[in-house]
Amino acid sequence: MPDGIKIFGIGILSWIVWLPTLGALFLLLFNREMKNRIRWFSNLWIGLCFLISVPLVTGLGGGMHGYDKALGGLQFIEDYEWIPLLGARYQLAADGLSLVLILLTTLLGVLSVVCSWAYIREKGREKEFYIMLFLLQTGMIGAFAAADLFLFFIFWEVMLVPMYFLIGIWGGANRLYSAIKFFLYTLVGSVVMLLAVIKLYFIFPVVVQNNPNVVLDSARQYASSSLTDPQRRGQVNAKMMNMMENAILRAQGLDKQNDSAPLPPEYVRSSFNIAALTAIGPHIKTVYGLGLAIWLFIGFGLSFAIKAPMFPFHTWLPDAHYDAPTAGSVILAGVLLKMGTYGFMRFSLPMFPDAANHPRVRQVMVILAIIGIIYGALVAMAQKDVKKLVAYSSVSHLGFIVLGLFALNPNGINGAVMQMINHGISTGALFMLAGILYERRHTYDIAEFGGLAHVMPTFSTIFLIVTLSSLGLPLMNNFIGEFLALRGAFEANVVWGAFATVGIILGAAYMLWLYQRVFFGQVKNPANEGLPDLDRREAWQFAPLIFLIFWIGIYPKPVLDYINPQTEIVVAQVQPGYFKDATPAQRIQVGKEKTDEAQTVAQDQSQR
Amino acid sequence: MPALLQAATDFQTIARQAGQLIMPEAILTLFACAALILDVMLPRNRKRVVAWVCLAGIGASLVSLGILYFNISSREAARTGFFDMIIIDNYAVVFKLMFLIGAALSILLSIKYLDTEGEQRGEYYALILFSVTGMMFMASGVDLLTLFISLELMAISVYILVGFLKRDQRSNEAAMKYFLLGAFSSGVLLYGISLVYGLTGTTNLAKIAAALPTVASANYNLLGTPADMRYLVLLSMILMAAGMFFKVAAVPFHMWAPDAYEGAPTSITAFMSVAVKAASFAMFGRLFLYGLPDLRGALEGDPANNIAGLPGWALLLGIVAAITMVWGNLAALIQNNTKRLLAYSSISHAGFTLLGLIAGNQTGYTAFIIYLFIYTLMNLGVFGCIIALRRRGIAGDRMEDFNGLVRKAPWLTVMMTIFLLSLGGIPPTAGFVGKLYLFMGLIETGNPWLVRLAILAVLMSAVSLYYYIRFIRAMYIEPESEPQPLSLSRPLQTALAVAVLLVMLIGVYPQPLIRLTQKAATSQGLKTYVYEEKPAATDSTDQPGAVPLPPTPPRR
Repeated sequence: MPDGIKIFGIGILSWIVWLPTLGALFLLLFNREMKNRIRWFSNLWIGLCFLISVPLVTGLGGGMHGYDKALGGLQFIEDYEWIPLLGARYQLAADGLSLVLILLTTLLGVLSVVCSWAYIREKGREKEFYIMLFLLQTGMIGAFAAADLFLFFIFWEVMLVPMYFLIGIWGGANRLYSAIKFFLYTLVGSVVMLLAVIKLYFIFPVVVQNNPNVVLDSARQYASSSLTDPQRRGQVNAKMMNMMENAILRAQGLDKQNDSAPLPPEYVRSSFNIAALTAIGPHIKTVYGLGLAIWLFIGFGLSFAIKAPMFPFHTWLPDAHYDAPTAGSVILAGVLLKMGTYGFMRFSLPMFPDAANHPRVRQVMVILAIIGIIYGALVAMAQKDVKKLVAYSSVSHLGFIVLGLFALNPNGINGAVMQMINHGISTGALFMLAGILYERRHTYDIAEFGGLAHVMPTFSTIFLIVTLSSLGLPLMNNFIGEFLALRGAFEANVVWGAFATVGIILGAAYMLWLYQRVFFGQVKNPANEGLPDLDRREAWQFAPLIFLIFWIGIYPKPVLDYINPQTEIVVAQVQPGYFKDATPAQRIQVGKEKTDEAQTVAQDQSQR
Repeated sequence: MPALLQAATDFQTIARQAGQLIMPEAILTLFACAALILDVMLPRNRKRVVAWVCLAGIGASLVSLGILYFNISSREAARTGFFDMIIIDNYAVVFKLMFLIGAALSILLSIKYLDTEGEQRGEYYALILFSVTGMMFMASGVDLLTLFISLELMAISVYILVGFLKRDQRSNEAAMKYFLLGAFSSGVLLYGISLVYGLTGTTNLAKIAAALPTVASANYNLLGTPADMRYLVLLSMILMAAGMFFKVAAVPFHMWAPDAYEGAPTSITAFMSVAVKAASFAMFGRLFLYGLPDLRGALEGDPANNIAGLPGWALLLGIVAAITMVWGNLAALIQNNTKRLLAYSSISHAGFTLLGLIAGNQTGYTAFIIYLFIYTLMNLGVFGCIIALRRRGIAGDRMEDFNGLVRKAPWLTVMMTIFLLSLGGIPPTAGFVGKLYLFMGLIETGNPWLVRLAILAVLMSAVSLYYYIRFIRAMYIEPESEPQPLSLSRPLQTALAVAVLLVMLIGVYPQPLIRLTQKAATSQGLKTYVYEEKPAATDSTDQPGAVPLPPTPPRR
């Protein structure tokens, strides 16, 4: 069992989270006129930030192993006292889900810095630009790595500010409007979430005291290594369990670290520990009734739905994407949007399983997701502008992710998480490509281009690979994610799957049409004739993305191995009976019943 | 003879208590008088020495306050004196600390500013000290008389300070308006006080609290004849509340605030918006939590109803807080003068602060005090940045004056950004901790109406970000419109640096401040209200809506 990785006595997750901030502090010392040094320093530093996240997988030698897939659960736990009077602790930890997203973030961080090499020379104010990117990086990684809800919320809100500046200062023509729109939309979501967090914080001790043993059982299930593998069944991640027990015993007024002696009376009973709060999830209904669970679900879900963004809340996204600088767009599409879906998977589903599994709630979420898929694709098709098209395609892709999550079965959720990563890779690459077009021509207008395949062959090839990946060609990454998500959707309800599949067809249509309009035919616009092809930096920055596109597309198992344990636990939490009937035939039966149930609900609604 | 002896021992007791209990105030008064004398003796160009003398006075007062604090915390009990007219408990000490910090920072902000305005005179600093003396008695007074006199001491000093730029018409107008409305509100307050005295026969808050339940019960037998005094009790409570609403600038009694804030010297605007407001809130808390705890009444969903059949101050404060937050924030959206904008922002913050009182539990009181504490720091910081923009020929109070500030003064801009984000409640700044506590207080009650109020409050804090962001936009994104460079004075920089450090420190590690304010919130005599516990354990029905639900979160 890994003891966690420590460098100079500080846990690796702390390093990964705070190293970018450290870089920002160093940048403060630079003279703002030393532009080249600032640029070189930032590029090297962000590379270092990526390198330091690699040991999460590979280990560091000397007995410090990487993430132990056989053990599963939260690892690399760092747990320190922070605000005892609130019960908030400085807790960082990573499970398979956080781990892949952290790696995605650090990788895209590097790319976003590298790809703005030329852009920022043109726009100026390098120092502030890189400081903002570094701070954003800390906020995002921190949100993925936080194991304490209070800490999570702080990182969650901190992200907004640098992103506001990135769009507002270095953005396009309409940047002021887009920046404030982005800021206020996401802020409204997160303040509502704050209320739900507080409510959860107050009900935690009551639910625990109501029946500590069942909560401990849930905690044990949540910390177990695997629910399907007979060899590992019953094996529990002891450190994670220990962390949860601490919080649960505190709620009963006992101090676990002090031989279960009674806590001093002024000590708060409650806790912000995410894992412990998840353990009370299935029992909120017993103590407080379903109504509260649903309200809490809505409180959290609204925030995530805005961030993801799901259909009625998506209007900030095209504006923000359109006006953001390339680096901002890459981060926004690649990581920030995943915050919403990560939130669904980490909080909404396992913490409020009764609400998530409630037929009507689930139906609403799925219908919104399907509307998002089809509507996003249709609107993307109508765009006259490369960047807006990619932005709307994100709405469509994120719809797949939400659909997969609310299929509430392992395939759907695995597919959703795969899709989070894939969308980050493909759309990140698309925005970088669009950024290169913009640097050459200072426009995103599709009608301005045409026949670029003749003048920019390398660029066209890379664009083609990414396009095909984005529309889900087999042997490429998106195929795996979409296939799994759709399989999950069909398993849950054939109708959902059928509607969602339309989105894939539309996706192929708008992406290929885009490619055709930009690259094929003759060069009609004289401005395009002398466009230079990619230089060496521009070409090589796509290498890791293209490698990932094919790797995940051809052999996704290594990634799935990280995700799957977490997925199983979430499914077991939301659908307690799912793994008990192990045979596939029965599983389909369960799916059918669900379908019938959903249809009755639909009939109910239509009768009204 | 025995009567004389008795009087002599009384005098001795008073003298001894005076030496201990009111030492911080006594020191301040002495230094203020010394400042007045010194002012006459100093030549015109050396007047700023008075400022340093007054700062020394505040320092000495802080030291004696510290001694007093250790004195009461070692005994673990509050101390009363002057025939129960004042009390020194944690509540008083924390508020006094707040006033002293606020006054010290305001003086630091003023020194250069008064030079620029050409009004560097010693009585300015003396008046600040006198008003702080008044404030400190407001925090520790537990008698209607003490409270009212100290309120007037504070108010009159501040009336003069608002009109201190006597050659500036706006300043004069502001002072006049502030004085007239302030005097009127004092009258209203006094009317309420007189009614309470008439009903209970005492001016001591603890005795009033003890007498009120009998008075407020229906069919109180006054002079042997049955009479219903409930409405009179209610009326006196409303009058007192109205007087206090004036002082804290809560809607609909806020009209004076934007004009007074805009016209007053900026350093006094800063002082008014934090210290005067905090002092008024301290008195508000004393009056209502100490003197009228049983008039809280009940909200729908609460178990107990204290004035039989009538609503109490919880409802009144709830409504006022709601409209204050909404109106303050919406009106701030359209302002273009930064001082006026911040006046409306400070009105909305008064609404937020009231939430702590309304919650009525320990968390709520902690929130009430911690929020005022944090608000003092961050609002002073913001005004300090506006003062920094004041230079020859430029008033510095238009939004355009912030344009492109980041190129001229990057550090000032960063500090201003932190203060603004803190005012908006974005972590990891102190403002977030304050807001978090306010919402926690409301949510802990579980009362559906209070949860609705919390939802309104969070939405309004999102709205408030819109106008705070306007500053940030001007500073970072807009091009420079005024080439004249800034000249920052050393004291101003010090004050801002202290404020920004505290704001960040409290934001990242709030534990010490929470501990301090929690002690204050658990001071004896502050009555907390327990709400009905949830149907724990036994009730396992799956009915939705078995528990009071939080209301519908708004959708866009």
